Amino acid sequence: MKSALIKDTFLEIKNSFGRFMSIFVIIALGCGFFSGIKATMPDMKDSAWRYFNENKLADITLKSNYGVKYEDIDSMVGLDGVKGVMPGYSKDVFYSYNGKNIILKAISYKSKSNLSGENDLNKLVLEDGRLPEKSGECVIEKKISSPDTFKIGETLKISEPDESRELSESLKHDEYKIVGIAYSPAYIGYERDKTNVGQGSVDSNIFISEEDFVSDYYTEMYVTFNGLCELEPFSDEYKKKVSMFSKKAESAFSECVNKRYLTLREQAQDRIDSLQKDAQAYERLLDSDDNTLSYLEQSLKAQMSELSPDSAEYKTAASTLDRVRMLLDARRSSNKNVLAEMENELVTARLQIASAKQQLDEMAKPQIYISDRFDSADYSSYNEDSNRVDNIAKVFPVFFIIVAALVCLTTMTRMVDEQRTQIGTYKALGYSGATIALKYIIYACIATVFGSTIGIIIGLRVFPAVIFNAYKILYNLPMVDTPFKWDYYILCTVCALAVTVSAVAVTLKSVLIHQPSQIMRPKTPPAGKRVFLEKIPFIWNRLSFLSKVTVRNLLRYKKRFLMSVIGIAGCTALVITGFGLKNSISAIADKQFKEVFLYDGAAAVNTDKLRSSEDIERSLSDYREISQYLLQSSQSFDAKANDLRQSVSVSVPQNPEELNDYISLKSVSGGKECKLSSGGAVITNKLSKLLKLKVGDSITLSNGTKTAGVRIDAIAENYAMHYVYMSPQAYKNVFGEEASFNTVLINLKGGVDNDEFASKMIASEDFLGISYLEDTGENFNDSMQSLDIIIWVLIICAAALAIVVLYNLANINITERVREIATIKVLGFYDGEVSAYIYRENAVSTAIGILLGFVLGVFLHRFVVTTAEIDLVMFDRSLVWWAFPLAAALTVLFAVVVNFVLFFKLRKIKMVESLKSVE
Amino acid sequence: MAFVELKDVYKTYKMGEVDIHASDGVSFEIEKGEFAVIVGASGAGKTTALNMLGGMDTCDGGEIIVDGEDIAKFSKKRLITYRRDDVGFVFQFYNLINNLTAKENVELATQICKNTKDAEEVLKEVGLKERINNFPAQLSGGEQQRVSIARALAKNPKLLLCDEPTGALDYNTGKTILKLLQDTCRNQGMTVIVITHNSAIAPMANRVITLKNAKVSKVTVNYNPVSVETIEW
Repeated sequence: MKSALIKDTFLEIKNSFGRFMSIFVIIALGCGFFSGIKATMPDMKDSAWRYFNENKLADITLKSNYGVKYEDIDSMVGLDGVKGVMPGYSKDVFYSYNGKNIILKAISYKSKSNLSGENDLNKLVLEDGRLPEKSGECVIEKKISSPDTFKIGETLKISEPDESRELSESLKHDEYKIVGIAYSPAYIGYERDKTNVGQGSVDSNIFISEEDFVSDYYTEMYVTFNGLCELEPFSDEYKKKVSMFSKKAESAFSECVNKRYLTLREQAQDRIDSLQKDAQAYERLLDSDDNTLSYLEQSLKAQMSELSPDSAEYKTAASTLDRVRMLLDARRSSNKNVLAEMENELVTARLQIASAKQQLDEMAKPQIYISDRFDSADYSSYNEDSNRVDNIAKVFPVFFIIVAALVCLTTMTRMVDEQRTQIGTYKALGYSGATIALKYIIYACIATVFGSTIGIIIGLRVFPAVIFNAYKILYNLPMVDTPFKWDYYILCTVCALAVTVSAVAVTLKSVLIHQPSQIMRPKTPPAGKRVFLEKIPFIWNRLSFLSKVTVRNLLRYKKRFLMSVIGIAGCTALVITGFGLKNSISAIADKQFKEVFLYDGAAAVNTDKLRSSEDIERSLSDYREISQYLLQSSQSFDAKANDLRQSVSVSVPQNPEELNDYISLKSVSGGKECKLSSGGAVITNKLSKLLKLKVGDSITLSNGTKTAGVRIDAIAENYAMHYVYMSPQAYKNVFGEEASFNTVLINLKGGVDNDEFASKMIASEDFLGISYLEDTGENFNDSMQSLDIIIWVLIICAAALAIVVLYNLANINITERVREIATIKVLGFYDGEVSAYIYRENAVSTAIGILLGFVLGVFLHRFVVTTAEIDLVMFDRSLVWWAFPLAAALTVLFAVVVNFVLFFKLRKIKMVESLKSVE
Repeated sequence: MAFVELKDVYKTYKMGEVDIHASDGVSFEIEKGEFAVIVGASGAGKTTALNMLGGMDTCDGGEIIVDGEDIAKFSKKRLITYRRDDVGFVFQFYNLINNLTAKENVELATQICKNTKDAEEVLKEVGLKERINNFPAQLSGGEQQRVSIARALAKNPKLLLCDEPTGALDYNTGKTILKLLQDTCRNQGMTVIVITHNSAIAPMANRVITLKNAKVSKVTVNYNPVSVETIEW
């Protein structure tokens, strides 16, 4: 009996394959989408986690102004909880490319490392070529902005940025051959460290052999701690533990450095003391009369004969003896010159003492720099980006699941309705309700389990990969892992089963409570009803007859109508969001580089040649191509507020009142021009949002050498990157020093050839280069293009959703109304008219769905724009008008495709169906 | 020439391996304005004959002449036009659209063809004056069949084809429906063809065509049909 039932179930699947597929597909879509999007955040974090562990990313990095010495390393190794310690060197250098100095950070790489295992930290991940094996070799990182000389086989010639020093003081060579391209796990994004040379931030890292560094101390020390590998590196738990450990490490390190400082002080003091002693002795000597000197001579001689000639006392005595004899000789021969010389010597010695004392006084207090992973903006933003995807996962999949539940409910209801006679027969034969239900439950379960299995297998693989790929423009991480997640699978499948099985149970229950005879009789179709519209004769009377029929039918099958409206609205909303998002992203470049930035180009000043603003102005007066210019100081800073941090560019225009010819600072509230005051700063919109700042709050700016807080006067509209604008007075008031102008914003006269002008400027050597706004905008757009993938994911999902829902509903609509359709065929409706009779209903629900989708789309777009946004940019919040007609057109297209398929199904309905008894 | 004429009509259905001959050389004639009854047991080929006559199915051989035209030669589209303008169909199970009122059900047919009667008029004629704005669910079986008949008549068809019009009705109601059909035939000169397995109603017809095993076994012409009230079965 059981096997017969199972056989019956399988036959049922075969016979109603379309229905089976519709449950299968909607479950696959719902589960796949949900699990895929939901898995993206953990997948992204887990992949990074594995990557960090595999390459032993340091938990903290320690530096001090007294370097890192062996004793520091030893004390760190001995510290409780420390797992691995690796010392290293780094040095910021210049690399001249196209007349512009690029700042490279040379980081040591242990080619002949005696460190291994847990002490081999921040391992490089080789992408191409090989790692440096001998002195004079380097590996580089590749970025979009990398110069084209960054190729394996090329040689980089580097120079010392500090003019008062020589490169050879720090590095063995000034030329390094590129042997490979590699990435460091310490730099997962494109942000590099801050520096106190050039523009303030490193452009690119290069890794060179440890032996190429010339230094008697290390510059940094990387440390890992026990038990942190096992914690998810973005979690609060990790954060807490790492901060606990780093406090311990900090105090140990600071103790060491302090000790070294004190020793150094002591040494200096000793030297001063001995110098002083020497000087005093000398002074006494000079003051002594000849008798005393002669006596001294004798006693020294006697003293020396008793001492071994190697001892220090002997040497001291010998030098004193020399002096005594010299002085005696000079006095006997009345040699004034020698006497004067000897007096002078004393003066020099005294000066020496004074300078040594001064040095001791000026000896910098020991300072410890400790940074953990979260101090890297990219590390934090990677965490935020993956959380952002998770936010999206909270809305979209829920929507899909609602639709899937509705589709299953209507499909299963229809199935049970169609099989009333059979169910009645079974019941009449004495089968229990549960046994009868089993068939339908098995049917639903097979469709659901297959659907969720296939959906989740595909979803878990595709969505994280596709989304991660879109983020790859921002991060340097290996491909994401997409492991199968059993917990998601079980959760999704159980939920889906609950939905489908309860749909079966609900429908079956309403059937099975009746007597068999009643079940075998056809279900009384829902009685026709007057609809509310009929009470408005004004509208009702204007409708054509067939329109009235359509209105009645739509309102008669409310559940189905609602479902198609929701499905279609969802489709339209998704498409609107997709296109809207695309435009919101591409609008950034236009807004930023056409509406906010108005200048033509920004030239970087060669501050070595042009030291003052007068110099710069003098040099600029030679260029007749320039219609106007504005000097500006532009520096990278870290901005902190409310325990949050972001990288910002601090811009100080020389003449703030001229700024609006070059940069339009429109206040976000009201669009008024923001004025730069002498006390505060104007910050950009997104920065204020990220750091949770409002006008009147204070923001802390620091760049390694200086730190200061500044009041926020206004918040200006801006779309890409973060800026803090200050007037020169404000800068001076805040940082206590004059801003040095290193950039010139230039507006060119009409008809000037950009390239020609640029080469002319560079040729003068007064300027390092000019970047044109036009080019910057284009590059920016290019880098944003990869986010298009997310949009395509949205649109494809929308299409799948629309097609499945529409097809399923229209299919049910047709099978349920076969008699009606056959009847109107008998009445002489042409094929077209028959289709129109059904399509008119589809068309109305599509139209209403689209209108609802417009509303939904506005909200969805706003939500997605704010959650999907990356920190550096602010997407255009406005939704472009053409997203609406386009979304409507696409939705209509999907609907037409479905209706086209149904047209053939309608044609196949035989009129003989109208003669059959009602089933 | 007769108004309706079937000449040697063949129709074969393929059911898997087996060929079923639903019409095996059927020939009969029906004159204009006649009340014709086609009787036969289940599977005798009644419905097939009706389907072909009503343009709902095509024949495999022979001629089906209605009002001088051979509808067996009609294209698919021409056949629809034929159904639309020339044939009124009354179904065993009424086939009313549940979602439309009585009047609207009639209008559903009339709004697509020319020369129609007014829906309300027709409904009054079939005795549903009070029920014009009721939905099918609010009508009894007999009343629903009346709407069905009204829907067929409103088109002003050349032929009124009825497939077991009383099959789903009780005795008395069935009788009144037959009466309505007979009256329509008499008063309006409508050619009515009724298909039934109930040979008892044969005396009320002008012509009785008996089908057996997909062939015409007997055609009886009744010159003095009795009124339906006098028939008992």
